[in-house]
Amino acid sequence: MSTFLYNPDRKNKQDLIDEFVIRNKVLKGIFSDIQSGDMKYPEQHYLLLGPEGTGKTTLLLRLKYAVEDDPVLNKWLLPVIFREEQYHIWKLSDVWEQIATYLEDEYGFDGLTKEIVKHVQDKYFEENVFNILTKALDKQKKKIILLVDNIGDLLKRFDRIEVHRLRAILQTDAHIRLIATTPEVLIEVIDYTQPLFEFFKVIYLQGLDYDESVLLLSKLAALNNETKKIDRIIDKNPSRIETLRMLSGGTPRTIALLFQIFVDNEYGNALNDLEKVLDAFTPLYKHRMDDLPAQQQRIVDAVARNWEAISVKQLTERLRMESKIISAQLGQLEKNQVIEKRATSTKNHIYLLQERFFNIWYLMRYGRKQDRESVIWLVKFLEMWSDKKELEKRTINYISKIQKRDLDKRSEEFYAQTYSFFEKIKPEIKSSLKNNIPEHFSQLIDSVFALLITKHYQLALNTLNKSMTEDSEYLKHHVIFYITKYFTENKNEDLFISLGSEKKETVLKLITSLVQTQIKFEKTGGI
Amino acid sequence: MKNIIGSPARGHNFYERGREVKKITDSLRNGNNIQITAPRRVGKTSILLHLLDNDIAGHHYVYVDTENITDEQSFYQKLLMEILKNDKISGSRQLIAGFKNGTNRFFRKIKSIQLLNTGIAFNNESPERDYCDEFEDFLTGYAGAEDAELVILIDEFPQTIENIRKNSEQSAIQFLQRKRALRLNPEISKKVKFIYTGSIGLNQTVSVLSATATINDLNSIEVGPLSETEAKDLFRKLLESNTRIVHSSAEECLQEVLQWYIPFHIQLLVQEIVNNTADNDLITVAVVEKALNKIIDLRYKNHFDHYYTRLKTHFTDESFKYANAVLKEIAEKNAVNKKILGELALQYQVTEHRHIIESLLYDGYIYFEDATRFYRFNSPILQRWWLKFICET
Repeated sequence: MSTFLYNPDRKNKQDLIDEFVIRNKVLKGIFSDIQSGDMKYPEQHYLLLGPEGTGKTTLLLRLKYAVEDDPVLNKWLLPVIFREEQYHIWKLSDVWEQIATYLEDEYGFDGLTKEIVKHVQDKYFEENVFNILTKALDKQKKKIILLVDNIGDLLKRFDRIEVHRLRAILQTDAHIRLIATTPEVLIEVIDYTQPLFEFFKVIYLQGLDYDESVLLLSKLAALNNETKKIDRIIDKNPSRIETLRMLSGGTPRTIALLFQIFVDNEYGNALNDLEKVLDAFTPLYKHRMDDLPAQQQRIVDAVARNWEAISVKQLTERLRMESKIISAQLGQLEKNQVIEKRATSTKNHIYLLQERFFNIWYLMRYGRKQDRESVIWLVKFLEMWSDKKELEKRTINYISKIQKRDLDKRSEEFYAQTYSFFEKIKPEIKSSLKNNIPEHFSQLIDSVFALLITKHYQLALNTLNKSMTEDSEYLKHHVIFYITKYFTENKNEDLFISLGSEKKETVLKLITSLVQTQIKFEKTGGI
Repeated sequence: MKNIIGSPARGHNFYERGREVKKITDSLRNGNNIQITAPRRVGKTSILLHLLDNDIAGHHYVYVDTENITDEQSFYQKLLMEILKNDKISGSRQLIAGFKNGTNRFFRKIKSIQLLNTGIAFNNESPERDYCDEFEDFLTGYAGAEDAELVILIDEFPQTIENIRKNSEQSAIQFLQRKRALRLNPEISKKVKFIYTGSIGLNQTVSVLSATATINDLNSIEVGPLSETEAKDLFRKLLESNTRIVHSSAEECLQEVLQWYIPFHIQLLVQEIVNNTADNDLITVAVVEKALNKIIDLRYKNHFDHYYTRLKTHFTDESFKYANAVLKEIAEKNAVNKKILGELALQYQVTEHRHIIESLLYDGYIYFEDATRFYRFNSPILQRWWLKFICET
């Protein structure tokens, strides 16, 4: 599967269909709209929005195959797909010419391009090419579903009048239905002075939720003969899936790339390949960085180097940029799902890179190379990846390897520096509930849980508040605190605003399980 | 009925706008040429296309989107081409006869039209010609030969004027003057009518050229929001066609959460509800509230952002600061009286503050509630968005 992570269009049709396990709701929604429309009038046009690796190209291809395989649609609707790199398209007439070539190559519209060539000198060339195209389609009683990957690349090459013309055609002519993708929010769609302002139905491809991650991991496991291992993780250690989602931001391509490390869940060798895995991300992440405007690159750099969430004020000091500019750029970065905003108890928000693995990659590639900082990326990875027990096992394993002289000198030093960091780890950084409770909190948390099960909510909150003075930072960020607040604040989900989406899901899951336990508890008469 | 967003809704997907259609057909019957005014996203184009698709009142309708046209010649060429694409016109026995027997002196002059076995068609082959003259001759010929009234629906007309103005203001003014002369031509106006609309205001575009006199013959028809009953009906139909079950509490809360029933806001709400729920789910007031919160979440910020951007481009300096302060005040206090607005004007040293308030009223930001004598936001969604993104930053 990983062979085609960057080029799903090179995967054969049957494999792509078989491996398509996520984004089914989006596929179903768009496809049923296509099935139920006869294109008598222009139909709804779509824009799929999601950062790289979220499955846009795969979804376009899946739609193409769905249309091809539908016995009713394939009689009159022809999918025409434009790959991401359309370097030869510079004006609107090039789009029509490219469609004509595609129709000739794929669907036997012989002579179409020859007919077009006759008109190259026409004053109204674009209009004439479009008329030739639509006449050819009418003659064969066909319509087109045009699938364009990364439409922003095309739009920025057209002049404004051409974009107006494109809009007019899509709005009035029923020969072509457009389904396009974009990795970033397009100015052409959000600026109300632009012709395509709010023209599309925009579908946001968000990070995968827990269930979707499980589906993807199970499919990856089946393809890699690791089903037993994955089933065991799902069954025994679901918090690990949450960690994976947090690291990857729920991006399917990142999950797929991290798969081998993921299944090697216990002090195996795969971690040694982490550097190689990180390198495999370079095309994805470098592209992401290179595509940003200069000011945004500076901001992302500062946020990434900070690792922890950072405020606008701190960024202002570090970058010596006006806070107004920083806020505006952060807003844009948030829209494009690069940066995530977290609320605090004050009006000032704090910001961090949404995909934590992107941050780790950034630290590895651009971190300082001279001192202990050179291993910081691995430290960050291990902090997120491993629970306390596992870290201990890893350290013991490392010590045993040193004793057996199994490691080369560089690795020896490298891991020595890495593991030396962990003495200072604060427990609050860690993500999951079960595996990261510091010893002296276990008892407190057990008693709070017991109070919640017996519905003594206020008492549970009081117990927590009492302990706040000592370890307030830790407790304020602990899921148990949110669970208790949920019950004491009339089940108001607003209190989750300051949580990341992954942690929120964990909290909600625990609440559900807690409610089930409450019911069970009541049924058994409180025994 | 599908929930169409962005593109105009047509056929079964068009929600009947009986009142607006009647206003238009009544005005046409009274011999008017028309401009349709309304903020973006109220459904102007969908109404035009409804006229076109249903031959309302037995007229021949031709719809032309002219937003990419940058000169007068191309404009008339495009109009002529689109008119001849209409089967009823190209196949009209009267018009064919007019071209065949050469009795119609106007048709005799036209080079852009050829006679085919199937009827008349646009002639691309012959050399360059003056399309303004050809168009005028065609309309005059049409008016003399054809029984059915021809109604030409020109969408994005103000954009065309803008495009021409960018090349030359003088050309834009001449274009408008000639257009007016064409409309008022006594022969043509017997059988041909024009309806203009667009995403940007025609009055505003023309006033930039100091040429308001060139459109003073147009009857202005405003497309309003839906009524409460219509809004609830549309909401239910859209959700039911997505196999959702609508609980009465969801319908009832629309009054509170939407108030200003423009189809776009209803469509957005429905889209969000559909995204958050599954087939056969019951849609209650809680589901609506959750969807509404998501609509004004960051990812939807741009649906409302243009209200703020527009304010910045429409007003300058102190006027902008005042307009912004007024909207912030109303958003925060929910309702504000004239006295407060006067005090704010003093604070921002704005002398003509009534014009600014009128402009905010006209552009759909706020309304004046007669019963209480308070100004309020038209749309509670916009108010909530304003609170979240403008007041808090």
